[in-house]
Amino acid sequence: MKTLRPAILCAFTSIFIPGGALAEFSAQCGDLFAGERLTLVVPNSPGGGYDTYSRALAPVLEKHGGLTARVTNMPGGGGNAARSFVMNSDAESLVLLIENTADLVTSPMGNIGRGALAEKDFTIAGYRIVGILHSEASAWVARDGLDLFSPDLGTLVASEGSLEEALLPVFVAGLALGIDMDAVTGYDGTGEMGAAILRGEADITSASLTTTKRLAQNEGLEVNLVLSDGPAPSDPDLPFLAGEGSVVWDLTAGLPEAEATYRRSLAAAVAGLRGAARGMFVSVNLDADRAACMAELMDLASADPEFAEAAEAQGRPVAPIPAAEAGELVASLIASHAAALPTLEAIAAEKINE
Amino acid sequence: MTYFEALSEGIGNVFSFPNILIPVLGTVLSMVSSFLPGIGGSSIAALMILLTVTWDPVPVLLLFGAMTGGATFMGSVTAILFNIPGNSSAAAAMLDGHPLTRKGLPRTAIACAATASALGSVVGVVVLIALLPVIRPFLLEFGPLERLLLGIWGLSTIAAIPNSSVLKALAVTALGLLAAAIGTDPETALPRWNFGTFALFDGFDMIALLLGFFTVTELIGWRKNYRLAPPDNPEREKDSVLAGVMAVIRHYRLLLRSSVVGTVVGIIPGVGGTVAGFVAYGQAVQSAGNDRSKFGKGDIRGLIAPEAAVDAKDGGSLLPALAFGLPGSEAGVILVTVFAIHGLVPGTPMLTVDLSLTFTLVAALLLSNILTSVVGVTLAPALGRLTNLRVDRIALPALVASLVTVVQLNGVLFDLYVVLGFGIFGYLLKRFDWPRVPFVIAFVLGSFIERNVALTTQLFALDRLSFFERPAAMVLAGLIVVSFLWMARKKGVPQDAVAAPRFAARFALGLMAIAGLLAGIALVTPNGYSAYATGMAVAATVLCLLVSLREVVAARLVATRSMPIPTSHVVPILSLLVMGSVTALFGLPAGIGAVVLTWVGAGHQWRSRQMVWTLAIAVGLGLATFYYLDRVANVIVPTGWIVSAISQGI
Repeated sequence: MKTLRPAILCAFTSIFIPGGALAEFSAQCGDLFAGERLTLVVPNSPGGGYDTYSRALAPVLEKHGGLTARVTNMPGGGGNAARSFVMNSDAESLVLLIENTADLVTSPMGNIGRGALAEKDFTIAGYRIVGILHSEASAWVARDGLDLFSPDLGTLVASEGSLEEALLPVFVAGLALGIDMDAVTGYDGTGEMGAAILRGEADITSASLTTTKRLAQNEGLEVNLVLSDGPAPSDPDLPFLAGEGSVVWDLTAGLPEAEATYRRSLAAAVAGLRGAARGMFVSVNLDADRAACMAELMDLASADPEFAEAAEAQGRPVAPIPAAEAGELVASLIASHAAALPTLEAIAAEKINE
Repeated sequence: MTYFEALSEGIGNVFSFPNILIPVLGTVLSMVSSFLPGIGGSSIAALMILLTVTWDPVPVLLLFGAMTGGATFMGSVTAILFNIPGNSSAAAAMLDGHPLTRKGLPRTAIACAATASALGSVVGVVVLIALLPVIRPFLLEFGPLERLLLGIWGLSTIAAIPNSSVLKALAVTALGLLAAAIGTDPETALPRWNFGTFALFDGFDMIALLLGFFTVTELIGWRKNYRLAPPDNPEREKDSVLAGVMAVIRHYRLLLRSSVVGTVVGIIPGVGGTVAGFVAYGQAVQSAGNDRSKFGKGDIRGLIAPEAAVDAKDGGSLLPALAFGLPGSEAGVILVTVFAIHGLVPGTPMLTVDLSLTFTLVAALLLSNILTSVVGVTLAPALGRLTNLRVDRIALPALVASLVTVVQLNGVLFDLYVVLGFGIFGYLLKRFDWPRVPFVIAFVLGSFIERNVALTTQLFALDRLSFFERPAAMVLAGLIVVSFLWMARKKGVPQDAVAAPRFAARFALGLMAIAGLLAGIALVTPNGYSAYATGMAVAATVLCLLVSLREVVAARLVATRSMPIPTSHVVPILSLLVMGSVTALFGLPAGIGAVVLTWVGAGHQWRSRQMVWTLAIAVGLGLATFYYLDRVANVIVPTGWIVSAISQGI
């Protein structure tokens, strides 16, 4: 969260400072895009979060850009068809991918590492980020009354979608907290993971903060840890994982410095890599002038109150981060992931061999 | 507000003017969308979410309740008339529905299906209403172990499907489970058998597979057919709407049993209507005692059971969404989104303070199911006449619509090759007298079973599960035992004469080689191939080997050299192969043009007038495909290797 907070502040500033939201698309970009078609590619079926953001954004893009904006859903190949299509689009095509930034950084690299995908299909270097619509941390939702500080805690069992999804929020977070963790993997969706806790099959599960709050509300569970490195802006009273005043900070206070530093660095890695930042990406193949204009257009559209109103009416909060800051965030994610990769691969290898 | 006050208010919300117009609109929308190729119900629903953001909760629930149930029955119409399921849930309706049409009883079959659907949905909704007060503890009884047992029970229905060879049925079941395992390991998310292509990350798309397996396989035989086979009705049964309606009333016990099966299957998230239909069909055959010889040949009970179950499932599928916010299907995802937008909280609030809204949703669902069935009964005479159409004129448009639709659904060209590949595979299974339905049941259930095998074994290992503390699991285990005992007593049906035994043996050997290759990959690759996946590959290899050995013996006994494919089927198969090749090289519009040119132009002189017309139609359809995908459907038009290479300046 530390890396995000200045960017969020900057985005809010651009909305509320007079002239920030009222800025107009530059004449040069207006001429370049006039009458063109922009395709917003969603890697999921209609009806989900990314689809909602895209459909709310399209009319605002048309208003500012003087172009035709259309949404297309490409859920095929687990969303990889959409990612590959955008990455390989040509210099002239205005094609935009709406995708979770952390997933785009972490999953494809892991998949390529295992030989599942070729770099021609995927590499984070194949995209240029042109803005973030909303960003939030992940969190743990747990059975009622679970005390992370209890000496009788024993081994905690998490319910997760897959081993890959469990690596950071369960196993690395567990190492940071000094808690023995295990995971039951293969559940289909966060609702199922929540139901597993109610059936006593697991103690915790992880998802974005919004989803965990919804799970807690629906199913009588409780959000007991936000995987961020600072208090969540929407829920400042919830305990958080990393950084000063965090759970890990407290748990490692009396330990030898080397161990405390190691565990705090693991917590920071989880906080940095497990966010849900809804990013907008174009291909690096896109002509430089067009890419710059796309960034300008996205900054304008994502800060437009009409977009925020349409998205928030459908339960999708908006807190835009402009292209420049979003680029810095992606660079920081790539560096964090590269640093964490050996640890993640070691845990994965150990768990697969189990 | 008491339970009955809430029920009364919910029903009142639907049956008042002008409120009643909203579920009617929802029903019409979903019925229309079920007929428009590629405009899936979820796309329409996503659009309606946006349009109804400012509506009050009651009309919103009326609309989405109706849209959840509206399209279910319509998919069965084409399954009954043409052996082509309109959606995957309608696949089981083909087993006896289409044979009824071939007996000259299309009106009876459609009226029967519509009536069974309507009454099935009534039972589903009644069960839903009865279970609402106790639903949370009831739902928590269905964990991974119960789902695994339900999947195995569903698989045991394969034995109820009439087939000529137990060995072939077992082999094709193993192949179906193996096909379902292609994609990604559910436990680790490691890829397997995807050969480096991301298109197989989620495995074979079910709609693409079913389109190929049933639709394309059927269409291959239509090019030189002027009409479906003449009626084969030795008992001279009368074809009427009344006969269809009365048949359902006569078999009311079966209707009730099937509806309860459908509701229970619907409650389990991630199972769906396809499984509900087949499980109900299986229990109909198993409960028929000695009177089951007509199943698969046009037994009306074989149509009542799946139709009642598939519509009853809609009621059950609402329960997880209402009680836990747990979407069990695509429609469930839409509903949970709608709840969130309009401030409705699934769980205790939907079952207490907002109970009248819950009943509003349920009543709208019931109304839509009944409305579609009334439309079905009313239109049965007209729909029955469709069987008199010249099928050779329907075949090519149906093929083109299927191929364009499947590319549109996921935006992946690979799905088109799945349709073509499984179309030819299904055709060959049919030619060589392999049962096709076990493959589909196994494929539909495969990933569900594997996921729950993985979860159950992990939970046992962590001591988080005890069989003897799970009463629902014990009941399901009992049902499985009964099914297997029944299976042991069952007699097979005579094998059809195989046209070309030598080719049949080679076909079986080919299947064995494919399964063997996959088994080899699984055995030498360190990660991603679970014991389950490897076991399926090995089992499929061994079973195909046994079938091929038997076919070799048969080929020696019958020393004929007849061709396995009738000459009238050669051009359609060639058209599919040409289509696949041209699409790969030049893109989908060119592929569509090529299939038209081959299908229509074969046999004509190159310089004849017909050929000029054919060429014009092919070019026109190719351009129309491009325009439709690019401008109307708004999807990315797939280009081929050569077109991509040229556009990238290589």
